[in-house]
Amino acid sequence: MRRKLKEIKVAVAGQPNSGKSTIFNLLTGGRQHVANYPGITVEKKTGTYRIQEHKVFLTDLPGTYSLTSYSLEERIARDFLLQEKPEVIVDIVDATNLERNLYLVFQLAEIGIPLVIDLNMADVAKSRGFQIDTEKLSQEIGAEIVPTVGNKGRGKRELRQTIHKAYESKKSPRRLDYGKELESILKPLGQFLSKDANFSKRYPIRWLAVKLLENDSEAQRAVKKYSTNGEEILSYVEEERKKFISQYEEAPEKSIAHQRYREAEKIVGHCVKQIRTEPKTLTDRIDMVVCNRFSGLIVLLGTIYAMYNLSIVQGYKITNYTWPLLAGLQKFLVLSLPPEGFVFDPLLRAMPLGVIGGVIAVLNYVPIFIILFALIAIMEDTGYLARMSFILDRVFRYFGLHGQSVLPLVLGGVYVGGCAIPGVMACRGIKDEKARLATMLVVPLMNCLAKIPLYVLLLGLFFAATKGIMMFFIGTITIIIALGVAKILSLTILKRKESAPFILEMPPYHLPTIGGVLRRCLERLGIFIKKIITVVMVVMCLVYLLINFPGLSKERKAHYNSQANRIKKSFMKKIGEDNPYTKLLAGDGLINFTKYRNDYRAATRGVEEEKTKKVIEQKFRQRNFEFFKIVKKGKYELEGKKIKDKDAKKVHKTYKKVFNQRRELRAEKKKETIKGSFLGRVGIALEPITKKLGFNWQVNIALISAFAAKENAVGTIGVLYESPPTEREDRLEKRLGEKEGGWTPLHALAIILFMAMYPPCIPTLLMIRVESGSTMWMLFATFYPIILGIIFAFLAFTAGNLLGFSGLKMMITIYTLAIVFMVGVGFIKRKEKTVQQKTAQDEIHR
Amino acid sequence: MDGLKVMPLAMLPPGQKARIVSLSGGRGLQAHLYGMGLGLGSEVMVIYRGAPGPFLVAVKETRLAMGQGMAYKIMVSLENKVEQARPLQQPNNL
Ligand SMILES: Nc1nc2c(ncn2[C@@H]2O[C@H](COP(=O)(O)OP(=O)(O)OP(=O)(O)O)[C@@H](O)[C@H]2O)c(=O)[nH]1
Ligand SMILES: [Mg+2]
Repeated sequence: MRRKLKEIKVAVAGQPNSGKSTIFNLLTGGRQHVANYPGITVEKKTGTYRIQEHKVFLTDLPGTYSLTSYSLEERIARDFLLQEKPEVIVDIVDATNLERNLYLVFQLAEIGIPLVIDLNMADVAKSRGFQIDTEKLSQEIGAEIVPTVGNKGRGKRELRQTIHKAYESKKSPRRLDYGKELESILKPLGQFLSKDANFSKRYPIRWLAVKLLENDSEAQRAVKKYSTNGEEILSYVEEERKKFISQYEEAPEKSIAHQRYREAEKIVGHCVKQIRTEPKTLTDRIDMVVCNRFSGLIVLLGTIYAMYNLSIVQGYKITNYTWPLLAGLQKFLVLSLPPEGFVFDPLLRAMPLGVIGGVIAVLNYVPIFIILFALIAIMEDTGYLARMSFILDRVFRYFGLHGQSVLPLVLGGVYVGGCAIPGVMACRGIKDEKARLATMLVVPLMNCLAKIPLYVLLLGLFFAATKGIMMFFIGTITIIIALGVAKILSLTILKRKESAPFILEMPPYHLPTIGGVLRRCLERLGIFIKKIITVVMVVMCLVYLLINFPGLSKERKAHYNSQANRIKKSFMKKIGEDNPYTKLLAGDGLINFTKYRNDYRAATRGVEEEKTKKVIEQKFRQRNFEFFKIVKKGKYELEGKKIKDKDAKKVHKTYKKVFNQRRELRAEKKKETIKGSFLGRVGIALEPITKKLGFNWQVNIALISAFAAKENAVGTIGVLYESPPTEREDRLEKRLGEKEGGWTPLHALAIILFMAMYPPCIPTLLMIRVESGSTMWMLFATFYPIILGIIFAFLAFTAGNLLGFSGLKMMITIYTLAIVFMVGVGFIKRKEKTVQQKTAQDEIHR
Repeated sequence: MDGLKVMPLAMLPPGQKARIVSLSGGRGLQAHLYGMGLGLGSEVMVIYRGAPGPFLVAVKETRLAMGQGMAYKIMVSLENKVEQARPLQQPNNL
């Protein structure tokens, strides 16, 4: 029997990094971002739990220092509280920082909704020597108080019960008394506002009165929009404000803030005793080293190097162990597809083959991502990430970025390996609109993991001796260019965007929790895998269609079929009528044998151990004994005797020739198909232009297909340079080397640099659209990298050839140019400082 | 305000305590700063000062990182008695 539960709406509010998400997770058992970095939660998240006959709907709000309308978070939190009208507000208060947190408590109390104070971080407060008299505190604030230790799960039951009690009692919290001078304005204003009954139902009057007196623009808008006598009210408030200012020589908002401070100070004085003061906390001592200009830089570089080494280098080693699993999965999936034909394969085989290959290739990166995301989560959780913002703000500021641009850039792949999608999403935390857009637009320039295989392929082929140093240049040139581009963007098209000064709370260091790190890591991994499974699949299908259609004409198809028949016929003739195997291989027999032989070779490839080999052989022997004789070249055992079968040997030898002929025929057909396909035509049409960049039509096609998802580049090159589906990458290198003997390192360098600048993949672009809220920015993010890429490829190829430079020399030249460019733009227009100094001086007199 | 040594927070020597006397910047920003604990009369101390920036500033238990621009928007005074000079303490004749 199920009773219908009554619902209670509860909001979790509080200042940033006070532990809201931790408490939210604790209460609901939900999964929410937790990190020791202020401003992680930007969207609101909901979860539920049951208590007695009630179902509690909990909403985790973004952290806000106060309830102004300054930042996105504050507006989200405020709109939720006012419009959704939760029945209880739980304010998560950081016990180590009570005084500051009370500033928000007072404002929440003004809304009039029953309030529960969760005194979180009780453990830290205790260890720092604070003694908090919660009973007294509860009396002074006029709301229930529950001490908790969120990350250890302490206080959960009490908190749930107190929330429930607050809901039942429906008692409004006590409101702050702002003192005679202010109250003499606030009281009549409140009465004035409540004249309109409809309006006073919509908004908490006390809260609105205070906000109006504070000259809050959102509050003014609300009055104008919803109150019947809005204009009248606003002019009344304006009048009162003027009077106040002339009387006390101070803006009311300042007096209001001051009054809150005084009250907070008073309450803390009454209720908090510090029995032991540490002259310098551990955090401060660590910060002396970590935030220092010199030692901080060393720590920073060390951290980035360690991240690179652990995730990319070690992660790559792990993929050696995981690859066989994935390859096994691939083999298994391929088995379920319809069988291949002699020249033409059924569409239902060819298309899924491409899709499966693409997805598996990307899944291969998963171990690297797990390590990378876990490390980033650890940096967030310990509090080091916030210090990275601190150290790098100095540098970033020169380029129109912001200290908080660090996280997006790291996620995007600062050296090598990252993913632009979580990177773009992480831009949300940046308060400065200008820097936020600039960061979002340059994050895709970072080296996402999917760009790496193409680098590795080409470097291995053309720069074998200098591979390491080349990788370093490529890995770092992108950040150099990104900084320069960010600066140019902020000087030009972002000029008019609002800019906010950098100010960020540095949370105290603490040990990361396993749960928190795991949760964040898996969340980001989930996003990445979702991308593969959905987007890459769709895109691979699309690419397949684009490079296979409209397909060959009837005549050409007939041509290939007759060629196939010729091969079959000559095979039959060569083995001779009297060969016992002739009948077996007639008609479909040949293609059946081909499939058998392919399977046999796939099964025995790389098998060293005698025992396993025997088992496999036994299996194939049972599957088809006659075929087995052929693949064993006529040497097999029968009833304990060793048998040499000359006929079978002959068939095998002849078949090998047929096999090669077939392969060539199929390759020829494929190439012709692609050349005539939609994408092929585009690639060929572009060749006259891209020749200057060193790209032939094959490369053009590969690069175009990479637009969908970068991991496609190597795959498409593989197709164009004829790789049967089962072959591995190392073979591709060889083929590419043979077929493109005319390529020089400059060709390769041009391709690599173009890839480095390359437009974001489609999923990232969609994310940019979501996060910037504009299609225009998405289009911009698509096209400017192409222009950049063309410039760099042109430099590398055409200029390189003119100068007669080697690949490495050209790389160094371009690298130097990039640095000069970056430093050059970095110094443009740094007058801001003096302007701000001036305004600061002006303000004193106000 | 004679006798008080007023200067931007950016100029305050590290380790020296001071009180905020004024904030500049948009009204929205000011309100936001109040919430972060940077209100008039709050005691602040520069812990680390990167020339030209950023600054690591202590406000009670909070540690704030701020850019140079921000540090120039906050005016502080070395004098400790600023708070007593607040206008609301001395009721005006209404
Ligand atoms: N020692 C201790 N750490 C805690 C406690 N509660 C939370 N934390 C840690 O404090 C950090 C911040 O917690 P979050 O839950 O992400 O804080 P938040 O308020 O949601 O932060 P934003 O969403 O960024 O505003 C995390 O590293 C938590 O593990 C506590 O009671 N004691
Ligand atoms: Mg949170």
